[in-house]
Amino acid sequence: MRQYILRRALLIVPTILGVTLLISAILQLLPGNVADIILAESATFNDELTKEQIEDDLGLNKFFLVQWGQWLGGVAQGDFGEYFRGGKTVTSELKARTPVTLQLTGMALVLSLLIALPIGVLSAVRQDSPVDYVARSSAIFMLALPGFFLATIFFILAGQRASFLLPPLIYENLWDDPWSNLRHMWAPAVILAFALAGGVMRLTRGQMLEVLRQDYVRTAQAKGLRERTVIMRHALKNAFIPVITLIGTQIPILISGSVVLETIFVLPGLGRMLLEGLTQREYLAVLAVNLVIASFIVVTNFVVDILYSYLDPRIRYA
Amino acid sequence: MATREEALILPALEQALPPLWWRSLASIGTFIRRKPLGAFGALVLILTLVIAVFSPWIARFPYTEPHFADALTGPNSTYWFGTDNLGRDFFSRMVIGTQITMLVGLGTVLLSAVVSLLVGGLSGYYGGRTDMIMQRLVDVWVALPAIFLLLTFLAVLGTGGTGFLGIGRGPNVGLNPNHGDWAWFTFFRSTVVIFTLGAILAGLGSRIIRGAVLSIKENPYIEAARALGATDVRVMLHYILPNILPLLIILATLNLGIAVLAEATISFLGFGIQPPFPTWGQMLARDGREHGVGHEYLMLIPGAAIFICVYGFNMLGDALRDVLDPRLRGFR
Repeated sequence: MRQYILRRALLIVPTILGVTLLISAILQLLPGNVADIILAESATFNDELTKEQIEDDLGLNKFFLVQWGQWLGGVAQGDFGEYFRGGKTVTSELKARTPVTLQLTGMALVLSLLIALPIGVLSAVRQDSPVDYVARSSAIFMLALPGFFLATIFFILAGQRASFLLPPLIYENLWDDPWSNLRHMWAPAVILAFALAGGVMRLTRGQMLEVLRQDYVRTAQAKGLRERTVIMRHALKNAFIPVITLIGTQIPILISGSVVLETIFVLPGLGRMLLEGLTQREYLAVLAVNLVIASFIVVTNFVVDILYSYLDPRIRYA
Repeated sequence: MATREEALILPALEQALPPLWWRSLASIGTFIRRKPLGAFGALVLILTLVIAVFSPWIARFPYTEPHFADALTGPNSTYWFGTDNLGRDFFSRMVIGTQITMLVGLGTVLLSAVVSLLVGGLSGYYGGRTDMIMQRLVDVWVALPAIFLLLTFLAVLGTGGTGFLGIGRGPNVGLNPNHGDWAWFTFFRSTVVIFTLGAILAGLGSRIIRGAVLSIKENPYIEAARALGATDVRVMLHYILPNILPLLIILATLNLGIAVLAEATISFLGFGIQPPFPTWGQMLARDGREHGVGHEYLMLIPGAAIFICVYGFNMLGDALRDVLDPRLRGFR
């Protein structure tokens, strides 16, 4: 077991390095770089500047492996580099934007669990009852309803009938102005939670049904325990173990969803940073976002795997 | 292929059974009765495909033809789904947009099936060092959310020329490569989307295929075949592939829903097929979001179309999984 953990942990770093290498290799192919944009902008007041000069200045003319290595060296010291234009540092930008995405995905995750777990359990306990049917069909609906469609509906309907529901124009941080922040965040969080809740609900129901068929549940019922005790004490614990893994696998979905919703709701999160970086040809910003997200996903997957075998000692890794 | 015993038995069996067409009809009937939602999904798939193939004839107006006098009129007998802000017939645009949905959907599924079969199959079959290296590469590939790779690739490939994968020049089809009734004219642009989406889905699919190959490989009949002198290629094609086929079909159907949703998402974000060629996601963003106030049909129609397709394909995938291989329940 210890060996397994060690082996998995050792794989984390190469995987993350591989991701940044892959992304920086792809970005090398990007037609037109930031030097073209700077050149076009400076053409009116400085016509002596050449593309080579700009590239030289920004270090863009070096082989991409060298650029990647230098960037990694900086990252190791906590310096993610600078934006090519505008004088912002990528580090400060990351610091400002990560909490937004974390708050959005965190709220969505908690919300979806609050919706999905009780309904999933109820729907399994009352299998084939009307409650079960409603829960099951709404779960499949939730899985197929695209978040951007829900967001569009929200904006159009709220804009006409309930403008007090609309997000404020300017985003405020949670610690600056909690009320304004929550007014901005609640709608994307609910929409994001929706997509997640469907999957969690289905899996919870399936696992619960499986567990309820087990011998130890029948034993518990046979010795005369109350239905409530049987479900709470004997069934729930075992049914929730696979759900934890599912949450691990859902994190990429959460983050993908937050890219879309951040764009629609104009939230200054990591997803927007990626999109802006791509359109503005700010490689370092794109690389940094990819690095942060990949590390987050790889590490959560690792933690979930370990947690899984800790919670369920029947699972052994070779 | 038939052995001597089979040659003796088969004619007798065929006589006893009803004809093949009757049996297949009967099994389709059983499928519809047992899995009505799956049958609904199959119906959606067939309908979408038919609409996509015959879209230039189904469309009532050229999809770029403006009718400024009728701009933003609601659904009526002339314009079945109403018109957009330029007075273009929304029905015709929806119908033409079906082409992209199907082209990207099916293309992605096909590509990801082939790639995941190759990667997962070889990795699982040969094991050892090959497996180790391939799996570490897949680790990197699936470490990012699909949308990150997708957007990065699209930013790289999509902005270039009109050629294959957006590189170089495509066929000369006039001033605007987006014009014409057929998505063929935008096909070279959609190859970018197909390639990226297919590659991403293949990463996840290859894991599942690899797992299946690993377990099939342990069966005694594989060992028997090897003992009889079957080559690796023969074992893979004649003994392993047939066993993976159901899994591949299920995976493809489930991926179809994912692909349609992903295409709509990137179109919505403005990274997909460019206007004036319509796609559903793009229409939802450009018409529904910007002109939807007071003209809700502009957002409800494309949104509902995406929803029905994704819902139907998911249901079909679920139903096929239950019928073909119930052990796979909850792998997704």
